Amino acid sequence: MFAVNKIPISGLGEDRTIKEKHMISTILKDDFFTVLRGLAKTSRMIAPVMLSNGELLYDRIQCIEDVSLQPGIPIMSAKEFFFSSCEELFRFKRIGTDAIDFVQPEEAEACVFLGIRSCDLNGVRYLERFYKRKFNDTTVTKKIEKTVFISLGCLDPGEQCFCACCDSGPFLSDGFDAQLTDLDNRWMVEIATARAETLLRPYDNLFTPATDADLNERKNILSCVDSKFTRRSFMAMGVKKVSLGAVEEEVWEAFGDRCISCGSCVFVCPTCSCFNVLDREIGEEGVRLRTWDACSYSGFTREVSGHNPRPRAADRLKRRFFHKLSYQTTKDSGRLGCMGCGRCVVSCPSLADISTFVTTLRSVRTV
Amino acid sequence: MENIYMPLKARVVSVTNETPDVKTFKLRLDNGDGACIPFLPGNFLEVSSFGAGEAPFCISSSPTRNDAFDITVRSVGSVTSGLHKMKPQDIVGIRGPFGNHFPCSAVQGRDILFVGGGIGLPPLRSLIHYMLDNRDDYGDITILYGARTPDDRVYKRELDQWAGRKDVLFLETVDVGSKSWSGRVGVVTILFDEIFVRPKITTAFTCGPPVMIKFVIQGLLKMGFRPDNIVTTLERYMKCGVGKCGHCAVGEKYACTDGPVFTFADIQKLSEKP
Amino acid sequence: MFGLSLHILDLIEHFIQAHVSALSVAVECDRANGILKILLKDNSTGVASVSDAAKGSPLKHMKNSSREIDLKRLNDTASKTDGIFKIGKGEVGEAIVTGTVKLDSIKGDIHDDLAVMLSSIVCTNPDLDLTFEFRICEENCSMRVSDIKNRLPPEKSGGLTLARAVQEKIKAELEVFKEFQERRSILNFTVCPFCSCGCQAIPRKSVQGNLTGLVPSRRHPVSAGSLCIRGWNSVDYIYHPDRIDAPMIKKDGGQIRCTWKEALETAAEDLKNVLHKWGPDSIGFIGSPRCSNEDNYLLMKMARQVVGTGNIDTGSRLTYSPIFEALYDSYGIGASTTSLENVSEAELILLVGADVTGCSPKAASRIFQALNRKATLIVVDPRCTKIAKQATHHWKIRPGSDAYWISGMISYLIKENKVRADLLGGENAGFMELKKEAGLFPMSLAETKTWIPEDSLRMAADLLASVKKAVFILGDGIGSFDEMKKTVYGLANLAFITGHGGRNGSGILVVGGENNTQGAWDMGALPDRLPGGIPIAGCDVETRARLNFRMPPTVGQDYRQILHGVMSGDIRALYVMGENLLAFHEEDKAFSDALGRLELLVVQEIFSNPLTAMATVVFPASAPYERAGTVTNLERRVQRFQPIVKSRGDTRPDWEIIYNLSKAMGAGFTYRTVWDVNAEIASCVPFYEGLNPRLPANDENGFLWPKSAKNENSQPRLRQNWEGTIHGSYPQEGYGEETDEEFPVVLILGRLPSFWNTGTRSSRCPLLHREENRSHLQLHPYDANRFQVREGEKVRIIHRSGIIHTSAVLKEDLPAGVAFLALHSVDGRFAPTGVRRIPIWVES
Repeated sequence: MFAVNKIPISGLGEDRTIKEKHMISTILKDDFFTVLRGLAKTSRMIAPVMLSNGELLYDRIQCIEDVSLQPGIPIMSAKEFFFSSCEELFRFKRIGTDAIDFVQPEEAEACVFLGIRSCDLNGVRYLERFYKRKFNDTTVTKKIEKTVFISLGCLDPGEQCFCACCDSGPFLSDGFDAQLTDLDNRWMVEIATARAETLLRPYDNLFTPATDADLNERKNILSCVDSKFTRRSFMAMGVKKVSLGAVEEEVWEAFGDRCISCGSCVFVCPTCSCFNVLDREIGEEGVRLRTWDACSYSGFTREVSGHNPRPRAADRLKRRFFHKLSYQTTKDSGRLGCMGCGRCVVSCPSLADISTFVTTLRSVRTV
Repeated sequence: MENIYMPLKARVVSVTNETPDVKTFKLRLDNGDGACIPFLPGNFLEVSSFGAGEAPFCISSSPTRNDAFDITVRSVGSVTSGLHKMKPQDIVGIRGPFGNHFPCSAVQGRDILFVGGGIGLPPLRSLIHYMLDNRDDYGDITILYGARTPDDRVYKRELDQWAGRKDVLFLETVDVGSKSWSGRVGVVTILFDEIFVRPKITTAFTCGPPVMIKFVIQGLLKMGFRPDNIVTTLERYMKCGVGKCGHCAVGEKYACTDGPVFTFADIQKLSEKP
Repeated sequence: MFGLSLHILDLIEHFIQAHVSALSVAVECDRANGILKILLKDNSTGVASVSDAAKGSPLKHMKNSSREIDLKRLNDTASKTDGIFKIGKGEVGEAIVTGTVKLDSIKGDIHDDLAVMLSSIVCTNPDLDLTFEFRICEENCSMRVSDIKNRLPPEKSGGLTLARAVQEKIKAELEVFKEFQERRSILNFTVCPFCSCGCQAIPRKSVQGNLTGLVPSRRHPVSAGSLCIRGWNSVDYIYHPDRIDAPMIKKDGGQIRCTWKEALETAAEDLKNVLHKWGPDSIGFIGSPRCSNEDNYLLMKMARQVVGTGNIDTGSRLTYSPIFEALYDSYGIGASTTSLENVSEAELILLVGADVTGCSPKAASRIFQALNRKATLIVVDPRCTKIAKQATHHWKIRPGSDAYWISGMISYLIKENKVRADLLGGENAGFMELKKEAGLFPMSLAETKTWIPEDSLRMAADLLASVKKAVFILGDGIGSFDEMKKTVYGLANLAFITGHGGRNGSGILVVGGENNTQGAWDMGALPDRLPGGIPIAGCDVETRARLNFRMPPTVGQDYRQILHGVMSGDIRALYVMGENLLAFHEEDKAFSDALGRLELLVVQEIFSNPLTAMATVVFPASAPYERAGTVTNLERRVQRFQPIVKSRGDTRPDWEIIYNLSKAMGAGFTYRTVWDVNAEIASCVPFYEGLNPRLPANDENGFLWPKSAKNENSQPRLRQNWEGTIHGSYPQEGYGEETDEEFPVVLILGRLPSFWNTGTRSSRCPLLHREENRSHLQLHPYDANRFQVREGEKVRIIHRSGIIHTSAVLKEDLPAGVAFLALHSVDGRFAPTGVRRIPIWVES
């Protein structure tokens, strides 16, 4: 490929995720485990853990043997480590009614997030941008800044996955500190930031620079993965129709009638960011907590007077899809609010998820 | 970097009973030098009653008289009833000021029409005082106020003051009269018949219950006002005040950062009905 | 023997050389922090345990000891262990050796090691009083060597034999704990404690270790990656300040906090007194469909074996017990005859009397799946619920007239000869009865009585007779207490004669209960049935013998009769577990006064409420997330749940409290952990054989009882060719006529998804509380007109036994003549529950 003004023009068959400036090397899997042991000694680590029933879940690692880099999508997205499901904003202690002491929350700790999937990492970056906009919410952004992300590209998309339709995977071209590709007995490691380089430098001797053959293998893997997706969600069309207001009221009603307002889609989604703030106190001491909230609940917008601007499930679903498919593309430099991880597809009890919605739009005649 | 959810300590300076369930609190920052955070009419504060929670309240005092913040609170829920228990010298928390503000400078030189209803007067009061303190910057000022009953009128003393001033026209009405009430009875829109305004050079500011606003705006449009010269505040359930929690979102805007002040033209353009 | 055990051995040597006569070795596995804590203690002055040591409780009964442990040398030895062990001093100069070891640095099998090591000590020091305790995840096992010794025949209690016995014993104990160690996962599963779906969830914790929420298990056949609004938002209540965290007893006119010893002694004493003075039938026990199988089983055991009464029942008497009884009579099991999986594959679904999207979301989810496969859904509900909107046919039935449409369909099918004669087996007496009276219930009558068009009924009947897979989903909205059983007989008959009673994917699914409504019934928390639902009257000797009760079980009073007994004074003592009797009886002052007159009122609860305030003894119970046990869901799936957070304050699991009390009353049975109770249930409750925790095939998804003989994964079907029994189900004359001039509208009562029952837990979870913080009376505009009530107005609902205050909302999708109110503490207070319909008058 030749460059015009330093922007590479990529055509079919090019691996558009490999950047020239990345340092690419390979390492034997056993050796990589040694690296992980070393990392675990010096930093806190978050990685996928395999549960006793074979499912994966991101968790804080206490024992390196718990780490699982097996294929499969973890049950929950990565957001709970940064945008926590229940976070102490600060503690307070009242002294009578006319004095009060505050205790700041603990500082975020540096950590290594290993094995984060592309869709989830993209979600974290999305949240980073969201929480930085206008008012920088340091309770979230600081944690992200202090984390080194070693992401894992997916070779085995599940039935519910459609990250490729959202430009969110299965491999990323940026957003990570290092990205892993499974080359059977070795890992291919692309290092994108100086931070990752520093972190891995002590184990330099275990890494081998990638050869052309390796890069070829990677390219083949990618094209192979692309063909494994079984779910195609035409997101661009969804964005267009929703933004233009070209979705008929009957479609909203049909989805709203099915949605049982359980909130599952919101809590599993890598980009959903709504929360509730409440005080919890015992005696004179208390804490202000921030917990996850869901716009699918009718109480979400109900005002004190009892008036609710979104009384029906259809109204709330409309808001949610607008937010994911429309406003975000205008606000976030054209990037989609949906990462295509497919978790909502799995967790929605009644087929009211975004992928089904977008697919339905295809078959419904619009105004 | 600071925690944007951490409130500043503020002390209650005074408590005024406006109506049986509404009180006005004067708050001053408890930061030693008593300095006030600069703000503009239309901004709101997130006020904490520690243990009960935090809620947004528009600042009902003017920055031109800025030694303290005024907030006017009706007791309806846990936070507001927590605040209602406060006495002078008690501690509360303050975050802000947040939100956008009324277009005070953009409307200089124009005639101003205020239409307030019930508990919608507090945000307008901030602007009214601001304009009265900068009287020469503005043309004719007309203030219309409607309350449910005579007891529900807020800022009773100031209403009388405004009625007495020569440089503003103040008219008020109540929905339901009482034995001691000798003024007009009816919804606030009846006052439209008694005033003379020139819509092309007037900006209207209106706040109040959603039903009232609907009829007021209808009336204003009928009188010939253009949508972008009608300014109102959008009421939404708000939580964080900084555009993160998602509760106040209307279409692509957040009422706490892009509002709460909107022109009617803006509201018409929103992709979601407020 | 490897490293760790050798270290421990070295240290123990010092104690032995100092002629310490009693020694305790405690090992605690702290998986949350990834460490193993070890405590060695000179125990000559009392019994020690890890928990006691941690609390620093002073040892009692100090003896004058002439032994001296060379602390310096002990210290030296300890320091040689890479700093793992440290020496400390106990209260009176005894040595305590503590150590922490990182779990992942332990190589090999610590259990075998410890077993061998301890047994070798015993071998060489047979007179040493050695106590051993191993603690993991709120479960612990402890034993004294002297106990083991005492169980051996005298000639065989010498050193080597004893040592071997000790080793066997420890190994056997630790078998149970081995599976915890083997799971590399650091997470325990729990089962959602709200509705009867029983979703499996995984806990999420903050860095500080507080429980912050639950996430659904994806591979679990019920949760399938999804939770409902309750499941996602309901952990907050365990941290609420209203939790009762210490036992309380009544003293000097008030209630004071006390120790467990005091509370248990008081309760045992008083209970024995009442038993002695008034006999066993003066004592009543109220179990809970919200408590685990083990809790209810032990309560039943205490009632029947320790006290000797049959007065035990649960609040389900008013709602689900009649349904289970009818199914038991009809099919031989008091439970659903099909599973959730079969719902999604059904061709025809009849949903009667349940608002599934709210009360059993997983059933709703399977219905949606079936609809996706083009199934026909008939919803029988006067309200236009969410699921009704999806129905192929929505029958807005006149409340309480279910028996008529069922009978109408039965008659029609009999007359049209569309029944499954092959299943009826020749001369089925019940069927003959039905046939005889079929002519009395034509479709036209059904239409008149139920407001459902004849054609629709006929279409449904034809469909039922022709499809291969049909599922009846049944909730307690099907009728009020007095008629429920007969109506369910009718449904069971209808299912039977069309071949859909419980075979080939068809069946009846009972939804809408609590998380363990089924289990509580199965465990025999019933006055007239043994565990397994076997009626006491006429049950054989063998069945009774299996239960191994000291006294033969007798038939006792049911829930309503017990409460009446309290009012009349026949019941002198009441033991209430997990039920707030006053919640919807508060208006009833007479009942409240009667409770105050009881000689003993024991309340076992997690939150303080008006009932606990009047109790003689209050036992603080652990919340579902703080303890282990099993529950049975709506499809008969028995699942284990584990503790995911430490018990609050001084609370104990329900089973343990009952067990402690039983012991205090002199009971002879012994359990060390909840799994022992489990094992007993497996050995004596029909269909629960699969429960034995030591069975290898005990998978995470639980099992649907009954498990097949080969212990394979259970079948959702019962038997291929089962036999049902037909019971008379035609309604009597005058059935269902309730309204009159004075009370012209029928009010049906229901539930909001986020305000669960009495809201004890759900109103203490912020998001649930916010969601539905009000309840409203839903009226049809025609009726609103009749009562001159406007939208949003405050109203008084007047019925024969009282008044309810709430506000009104107009709904056009209700039939005229029917109103709806959801239970809610703010706007929906009424009494009594168990009545699903009341005729009312409304005024503003």
